[in-house]
Amino acid sequence: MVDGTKTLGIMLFTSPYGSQDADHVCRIAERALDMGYGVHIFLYGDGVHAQLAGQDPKMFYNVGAALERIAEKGGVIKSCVRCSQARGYVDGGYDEEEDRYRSSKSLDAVRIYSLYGFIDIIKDADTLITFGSS
Amino acid sequence: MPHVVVEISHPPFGHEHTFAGLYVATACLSKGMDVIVVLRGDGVYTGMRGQVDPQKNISLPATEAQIEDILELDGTVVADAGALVMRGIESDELIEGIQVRESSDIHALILKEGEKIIAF
Repeated sequence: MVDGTKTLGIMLFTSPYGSQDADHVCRIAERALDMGYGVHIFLYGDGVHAQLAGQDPKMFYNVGAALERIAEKGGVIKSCVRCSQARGYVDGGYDEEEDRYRSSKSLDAVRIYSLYGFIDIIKDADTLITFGSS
Repeated sequence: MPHVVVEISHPPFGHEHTFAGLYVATACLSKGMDVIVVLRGDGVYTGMRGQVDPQKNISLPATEAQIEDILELDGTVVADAGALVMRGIESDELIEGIQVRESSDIHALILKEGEKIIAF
């Protein structure tokens, strides 16, 4: 166990199911939470597709369900607003009360946010892992 | 503030990676972080001067302008000398301000300065 002050930052750049990146992200995030880490995930580029509500894979690990479990355990998950808007996830403006952009298509566990959500992770994370961006 | 290295190994317009990485570099600089952008492999094409206006022609962000913004914000941009030679690119074809370094020097720079390394 870690002392609860260590933070793991993760950036995901690829969509779920086309590769195992999203699967790896969720499994390492859950393990880190179980070990006492703070976990912050940022979905960037095609990684924002991991936020789609209603995922129902028949033969794969369910990334949407995993993100909901991660959020329930205290993980913080944000996604890039510019990438989300390009892919049709944003259907409203910025909601100050909720501190997120409005979306009827995204999981409640994921907050659509500016790129500065990732910059804060870069700044604050003790360990930073990126998946799918190289 | 952490020292950030953003590695770009994709060419500028065929994938989202390059401009996504350069956005991260610019945002880090705007928050006061020290940033080194490393152009390696096909990423060296991103450093070429005189790119046509991609926004007008193919509706993609202008990576040349992004590199210029990074340099203006006191970011460091280095290009791998070997990758340039292999692609027939001369250093005077690069955007002014990009430093050309040998791979071994770039590796040493990353090990010395890179607290947070993000590869695109």
